[in-house]
Amino acid sequence: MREVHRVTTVAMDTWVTVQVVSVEPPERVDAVARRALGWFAAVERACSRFEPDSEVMRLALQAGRPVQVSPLLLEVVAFALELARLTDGAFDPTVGGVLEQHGFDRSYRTGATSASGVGEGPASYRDVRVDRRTGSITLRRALVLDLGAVAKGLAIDLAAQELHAYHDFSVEAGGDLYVHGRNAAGESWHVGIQHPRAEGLIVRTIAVTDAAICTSGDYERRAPDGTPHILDARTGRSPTEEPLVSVSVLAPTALAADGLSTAAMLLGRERGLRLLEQHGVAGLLLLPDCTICTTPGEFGEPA
Amino acid sequence: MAKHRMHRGLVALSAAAIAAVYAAGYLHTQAADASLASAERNAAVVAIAARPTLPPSPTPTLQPFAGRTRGDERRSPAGRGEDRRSSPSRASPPAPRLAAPTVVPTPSTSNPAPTTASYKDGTYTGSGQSRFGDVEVRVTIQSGRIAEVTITRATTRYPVSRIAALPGRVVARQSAQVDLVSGATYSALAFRTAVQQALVRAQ
Repeated sequence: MREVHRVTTVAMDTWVTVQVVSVEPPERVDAVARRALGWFAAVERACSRFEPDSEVMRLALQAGRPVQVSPLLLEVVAFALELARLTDGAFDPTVGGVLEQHGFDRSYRTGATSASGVGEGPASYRDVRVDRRTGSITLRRALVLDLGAVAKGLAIDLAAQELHAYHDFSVEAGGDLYVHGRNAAGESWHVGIQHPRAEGLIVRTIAVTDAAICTSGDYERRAPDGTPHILDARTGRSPTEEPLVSVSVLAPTALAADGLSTAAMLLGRERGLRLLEQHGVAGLLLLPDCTICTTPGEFGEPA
Repeated sequence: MAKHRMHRGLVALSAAAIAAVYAAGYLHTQAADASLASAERNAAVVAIAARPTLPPSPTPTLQPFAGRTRGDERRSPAGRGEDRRSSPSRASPPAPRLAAPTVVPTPSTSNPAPTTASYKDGTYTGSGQSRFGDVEVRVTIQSGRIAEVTITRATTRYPVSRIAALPGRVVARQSAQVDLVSGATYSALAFRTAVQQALVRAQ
């Protein structure tokens, strides 16, 4: 008998839930689900800006020379730098210092500040070098990398890999998710896109499988001074040209969906849509007047 | 994932990155590093009643803390095939059952105690509420530092159960057939509040 096995944890300042639809005994499924969730802790240990001894924060203190890093940090930084290059720096992972200055510097576990203070000068993604041959990263100046736009997506994908022995499962972390196979009813997974201004409402429902959907928005996380957490590194402010309220991206991987949704938020409507189309992913953009605009194709019917 | 398909640009890059990280067996190589701390680190537990049907219920049944678990042994990626094993089918529909406890990594040794004060040894509780869930935690302080954070009770809920007035021009209505909701990150504010409340008591 197919049963839904569900395990939930807290990681990356949000709730993370794995669901597996399976006929296997609960203990078995739960053990694999827990191992999948373990990837969130691994990604956090490498990438969290809020833990002073995470790998990325230790890297921040070693500017000016190559530092050996884990494959995980190497890959996620390389991906973030490529995204920065493709958006001409509108998205820039070196925005960490600016985010610290806006007060995005608290550990969700303890409330303790993690502000390193090292990244206060101007920095850009061009100040970061990834060397795959030696497995090292060089920061050419003191800066703090913020991997918040990509780390969760990577963790979702890694958790999904861990669940690959199962056909029907989902991994959801704070509104970003990957679904595989079928839901408990034997259908494609039905994913609702949350209305960014009206809690509890869904602007669209899409039936998908073997795909990730990630949403970036100007809601949910704000600094004490009201600044949303998505900032243009070049200005230190929220994007003002053609501002968007939220961007949802449907992509084969959560890493791509996560990064591209944040990048599109920063680029605004026209350039954002173009970026998504260039990379062959579907996007749903919500404008300030609450109208919807999508890439051509597969983003479902109105809810 | 990106099996057997050609992808463009960042999607291809992301698939390669995931494969590289997974193949590197990062968890496995980290196991030695983590195993020392794992007893403390992987101590927090969430026990949430699994529901036999979807979509997620707005008010899941609460279940008490089910006991401390250790982190699962990590295996190398090469050993993973063994998970696929057939199981006997059940004679009768099972009752809703408890999900197995889930480990939550806790700050343990990596946690910086705020510089203001170290904490008094002991066990303290705290609770927090948010629209996405309520949580109660138990924080254990040893030698003035956080040794363990255990979630003793938790609810999570999707906010799809409430219907608000419709702003703007989006025609939106709740679908009964929604398995999951995608939206900008819900902060686990309740968790943070609960831990901080416990830490105040530990001062």
